[in-house]
Amino acid sequence: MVSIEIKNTNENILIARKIRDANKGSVDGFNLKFTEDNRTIVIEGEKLTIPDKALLTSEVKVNGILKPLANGFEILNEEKGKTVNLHLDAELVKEINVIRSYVKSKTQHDVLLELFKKGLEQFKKENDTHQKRSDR
Amino acid sequence: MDLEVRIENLKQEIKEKQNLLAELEEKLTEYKNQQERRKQYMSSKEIIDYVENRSGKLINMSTIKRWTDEGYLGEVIDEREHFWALKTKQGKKRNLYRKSTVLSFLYNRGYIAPYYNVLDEVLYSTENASFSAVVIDVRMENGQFLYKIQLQDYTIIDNIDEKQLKGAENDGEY
Repeated sequence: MVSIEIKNTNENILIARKIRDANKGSVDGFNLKFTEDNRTIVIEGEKLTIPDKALLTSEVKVNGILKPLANGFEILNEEKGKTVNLHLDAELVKEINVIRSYVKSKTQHDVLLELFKKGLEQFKKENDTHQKRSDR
Repeated sequence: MDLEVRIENLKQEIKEKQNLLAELEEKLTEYKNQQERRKQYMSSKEIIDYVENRSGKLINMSTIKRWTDEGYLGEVIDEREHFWALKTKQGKKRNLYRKSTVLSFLYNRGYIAPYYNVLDEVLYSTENASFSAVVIDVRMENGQFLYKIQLQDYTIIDNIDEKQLKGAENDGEY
């Protein structure tokens, strides 16, 4: 079972309605309801579709694995762990891409080793300056 | 003496008429009572017409008979026996089913559906005004679809009869 939770606001109702309509013909079916306190709109199903990437705003929470489609997303059952819907700004995305391209050609072992070394170096450096300061 | 006789006769007549009046009033009360109670029941024909009107789906007498035999439609009563004060077609024995049982069954089996669904935009009309609203919840209760809606300012109103709602234009499908 996957689900989409959306905060109940007039704007979000429009979003929720689009998601509802996109899933209407689904063979898997889905269940749509407001929580008892009326704060959240919940759409649940075996598999759900978000028809447009723009609909996935920060007020839309997804429980399941997001699989990108041409325009939107498909939400599939998670095997284990949880997919969190992260909203990264452009700079952060750039940074992640740099890291990704850097890491791409290395094995996990290489990366961990490097992290470990750099960590140690950093630790030594900090310790040294600390030492010097206390020497004074 | 003639006058005394006339007075006596008139008194007698008044008494008779009063009795008649009481009798008629009682009949009327009973009629109204039964008429009101009759609204809680549906005949086979009424069920068939209701489903067709509401969803365009066609069911027939043998379907109703089968459902009755399976017990899906609940307790069956005889119209003439329970609603003798109401004018009905003469001679024919007619089965009646409790509306709340019948409609819940039809709803659960998908033969009827609410006109508006969760998230639909609707127009909620009271005696003096109309409000744009969104459907938050729909349920079938005692033979009617009851809605919970949310107005633009997030006021929530529950237990709204379907008759008080209209579909909004941009949601024409419903």
